[in-house]
Amino acid sequence: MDHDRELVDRVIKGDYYAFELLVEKHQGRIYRHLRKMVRDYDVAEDLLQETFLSAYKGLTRFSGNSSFATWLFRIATNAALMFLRKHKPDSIQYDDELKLRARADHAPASPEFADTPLELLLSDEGRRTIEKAIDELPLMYRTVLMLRDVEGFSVREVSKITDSSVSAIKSRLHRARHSVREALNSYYSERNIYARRGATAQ
Amino acid sequence: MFSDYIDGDICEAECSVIEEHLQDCPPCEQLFQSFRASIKMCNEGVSDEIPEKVCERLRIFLRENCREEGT
Repeated sequence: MDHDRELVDRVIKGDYYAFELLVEKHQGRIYRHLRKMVRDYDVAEDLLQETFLSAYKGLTRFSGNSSFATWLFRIATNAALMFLRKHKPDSIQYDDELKLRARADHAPASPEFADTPLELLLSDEGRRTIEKAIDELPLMYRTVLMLRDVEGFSVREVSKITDSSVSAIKSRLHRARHSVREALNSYYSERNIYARRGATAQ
Repeated sequence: MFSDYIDGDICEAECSVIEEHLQDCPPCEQLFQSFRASIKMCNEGVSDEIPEKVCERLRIFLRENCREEGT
């Protein structure tokens, strides 16, 4: 039996400490996911509390057909969407023809980006750049990219979490990945152009 | 197609076609590498750190509200 399932069973039998262990294990990821969905630290914290309270109240309904994490992320995603529907309805668009930023889907890769080792890309600057690239995606693309590429859920799990078809998920993921790739590609390419100009001027 | 290829979501025949092409086409190979790099940055570059104060407030909130409700 996986560890989460074991903890859930203990909570249902009245072991509150087991619930605190579940919270501790998943809170960082849930908070990250909510932060990225609503792009507001205070709202993300409120939704974090709401998510875990809903999870606690609904634990007897967790059937185990999906992983606990999948179930929990579904609660969190729905909580964020309900908030956004109420307070920022324009941010929710399901239209798959939605234009992401006007960029060529297959702009040539800059060697500065393609050939840079990952450990250098993951500098503080690199991390800020990837966060910005993700933040600039429209909500439904951002959500899918976060769940698949940041949280590591499979496409099927993302489909369960968001209640969307696998084909819709793949389509949004594909476009979101291209948009992020293009943002990173442009950033590293421009950065190197300025660095080279600076070196030449000297 | 890079997306499906990276996710292992294509058949062996399509996989071979892509791999052969990448071997012979440096611009596509570089495009693929940049695609893969950006996914890896997503995998590893977004922090899941949560401020201790947020954790503490969550703990207090849940202790106050869960025990009233019961599961």
